[in-house]
Amino acid sequence: MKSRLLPWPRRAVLHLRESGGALAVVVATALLFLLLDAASGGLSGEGAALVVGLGMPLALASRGPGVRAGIATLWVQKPVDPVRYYLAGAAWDVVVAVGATLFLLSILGIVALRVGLDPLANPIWTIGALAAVTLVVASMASGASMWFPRAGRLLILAVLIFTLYLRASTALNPSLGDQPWIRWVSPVLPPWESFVSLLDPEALDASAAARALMWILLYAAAWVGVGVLGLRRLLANGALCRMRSP
Amino acid sequence: MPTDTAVEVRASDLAVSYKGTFRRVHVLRGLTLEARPGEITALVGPNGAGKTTFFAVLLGLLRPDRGRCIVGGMRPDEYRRRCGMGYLPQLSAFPRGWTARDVLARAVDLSAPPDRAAAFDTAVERADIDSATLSRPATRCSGGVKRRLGLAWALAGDPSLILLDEPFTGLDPRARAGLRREMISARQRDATVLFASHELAEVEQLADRVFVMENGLTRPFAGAANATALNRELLGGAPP
Repeated sequence: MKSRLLPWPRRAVLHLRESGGALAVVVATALLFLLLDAASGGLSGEGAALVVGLGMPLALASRGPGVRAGIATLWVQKPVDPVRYYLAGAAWDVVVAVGATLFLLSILGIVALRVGLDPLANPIWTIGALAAVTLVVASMASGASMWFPRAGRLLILAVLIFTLYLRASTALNPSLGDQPWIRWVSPVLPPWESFVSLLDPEALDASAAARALMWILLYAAAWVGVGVLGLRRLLANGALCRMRSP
Repeated sequence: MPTDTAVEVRASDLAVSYKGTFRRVHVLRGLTLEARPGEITALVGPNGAGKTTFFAVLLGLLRPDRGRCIVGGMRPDEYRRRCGMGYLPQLSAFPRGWTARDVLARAVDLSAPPDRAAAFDTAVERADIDSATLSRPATRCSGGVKRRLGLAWALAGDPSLILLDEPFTGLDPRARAGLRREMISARQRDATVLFASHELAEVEQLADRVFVMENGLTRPFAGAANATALNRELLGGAPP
């Protein structure tokens, strides 16, 4: 392969720069959670870990606004297949999001230790589970942004909050899970039970861990598919050439 | 990658409409046009005549309701996927945080020329920017620099089909001269150049063929393409 003028480390830096504002919000919120946790005598700073695990992929994996803002006209003129380009971009989003999340978490972990918390006391800091959450949230953000370029991130954030709320509610009242609408809506929500099972991999047998991982990968792939459908729709109705002011 | 082959553009009876809020908006109503390799073809016409929409069809980003459009013997989207095109839109948008150097490097990477370093030097030359500007974020560059960056992006890899939408807008005299040179050089290497412009003096100077677009239709401009005659044609509006 010929050497690229824009090598991948530089592309990763550019990717982070593109989402600079959103990243700053995530880092500030995570730090705030950490300090509040330390001030209120908390133990592990799991709130900060959750903010980073959900916020980083939401900030980094959002192709839609750029595509709609006219940046798409830069690449659609080059000899590249738009769908393949989108898929490569979505994969890149996930890699950068997972890498940046783990990097930020390791820094936050050090800060947590410095302010008197013990991050290792809570399994939410488990690297495998956080990488899986980041993979799923990045795929969701990437797919949704192709349909709702402005509101995609907020929509996915709402879905994630609803999922956590539903999980907490059904834990308190197990009969709630038997309601038809919950049974109907559960398969399209993020596979939270699979994440939870990955938090303690030693408690799982190999086949259950493989099932959880497979379900997570399939769920993420489905959202990438949703993004491809969104891109095809944009291509079919000519929206890529109707430019917004940059 | 067959980028060195001559590309002919043939459009016949093209009709394109968009879904508007209350009714369908018919933009092209039967456009017929031919652009040949080694020629510069100009599209002139009032605002809203459908010039940008026609470029979208040529890029394969918009499917016509009716008619045929063939680029280099293929469907436009197929041609674009295989060979690529050079397209300068009216507004050039760049990703946030990217410097001008990053933009040009990415353009060269995507075009995949045999010698990337030489292609990058050519792109910098085309953009006509100094090393300080190269390190500035592209989104914070002046309108003229953005325009030149957009042009350098479009021409990276020396595509055989070049579509320029209002290319002279926002350019200073030096940049205009540079753009004219690039268009003439593309014609000399047998590329097909199509440009839409309201700058009739530039049309007079550059175009081998002129098509007048009005109400979604085209007619070849029969007379000598001088600015005065074109101006009269556009203001008078002889029916097609």
